[in-house]
Amino acid sequence: MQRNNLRFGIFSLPLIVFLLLGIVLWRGLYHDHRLIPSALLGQAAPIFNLPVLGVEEVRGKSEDLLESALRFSNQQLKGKAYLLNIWASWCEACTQEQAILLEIKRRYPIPIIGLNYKDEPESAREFLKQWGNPYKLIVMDQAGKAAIDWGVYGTPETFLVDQNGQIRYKYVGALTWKVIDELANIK
Amino acid sequence: MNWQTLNKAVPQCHCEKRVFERRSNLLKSKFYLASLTLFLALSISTTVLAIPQEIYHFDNPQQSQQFQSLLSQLRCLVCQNQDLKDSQAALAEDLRQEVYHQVKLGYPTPQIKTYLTQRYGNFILFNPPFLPQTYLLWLGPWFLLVFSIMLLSYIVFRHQRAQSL
Repeated sequence: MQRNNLRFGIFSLPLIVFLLLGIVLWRGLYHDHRLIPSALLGQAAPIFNLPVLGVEEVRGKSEDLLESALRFSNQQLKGKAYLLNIWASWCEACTQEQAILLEIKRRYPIPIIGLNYKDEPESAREFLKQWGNPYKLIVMDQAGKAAIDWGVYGTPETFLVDQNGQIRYKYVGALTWKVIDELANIK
Repeated sequence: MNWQTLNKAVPQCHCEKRVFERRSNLLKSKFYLASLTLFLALSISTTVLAIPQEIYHFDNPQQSQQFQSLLSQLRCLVCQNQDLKDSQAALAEDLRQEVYHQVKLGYPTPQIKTYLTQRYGNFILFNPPFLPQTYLLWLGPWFLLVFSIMLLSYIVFRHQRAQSL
């Protein structure tokens, strides 16, 4: 009797291993392995100082934040929570999230700062005219150097920075409606 | 801005349609072997490194060596199977520039690696550091190997014993 039990135990081991492996691989099917978790969560937001995109509509709306019309640094946002959205006119996924960004702008008082990544000002303006402008203001990172400080490896990416200047949340890819709920929970 | 008019490396979009994703593995094996032999055939301690469309000048061979060694240890985050040396992605180009800049300033390799892992996490290194979080990753295969040998020998000896009876 004991030998049979032992045999059963040994034979069921591969089955157990197979089931465990199956579960792990099944979950892996739904996980995008190309996504990299942010190394900056909980860290202080990197400081940038970049030229501002001169858009007539933007200028009108951002008067309370815009000191000089030339450059902007997120140090000027001390004490305020904000969303930093990395986008570009050549990015197709960014068109998908404009609607969601506009919705966030409508629902919440949080300022959305746009960081235009490796792009031309003219193309950026065209994009905003076509797809709408949810941004409080837009800074231009044409070389992509400031974005490296934020661990950006593609567009679009969105960061939530709280009033203490800490990065609380990062989303890679075009924003979805679910993300709005996640963001609301953090605040 | 029209995709087709760009003849340099294009930046990455987190889109469903990855139009510019390369079949990096196959390309890497033939191209990498060829470029590796070429690289070895040429003198190893050169002060100039040429990557298609980019030329990097160094003050001495040590820096050139450091640069090349660093590039092959760093993963391209866009084409994630390629290292920074091979990858044509725009981000790889930017990171190469940054690494080049730091090597020229004389920063040691660990410092440059820390700079990058602070921003991109440990994933950017092909060899993850040996920390409690990665013990399972590094030691797991060895444990599996030892366990398999033990199991195998148990089965074999049991069979032998049964035969000799």
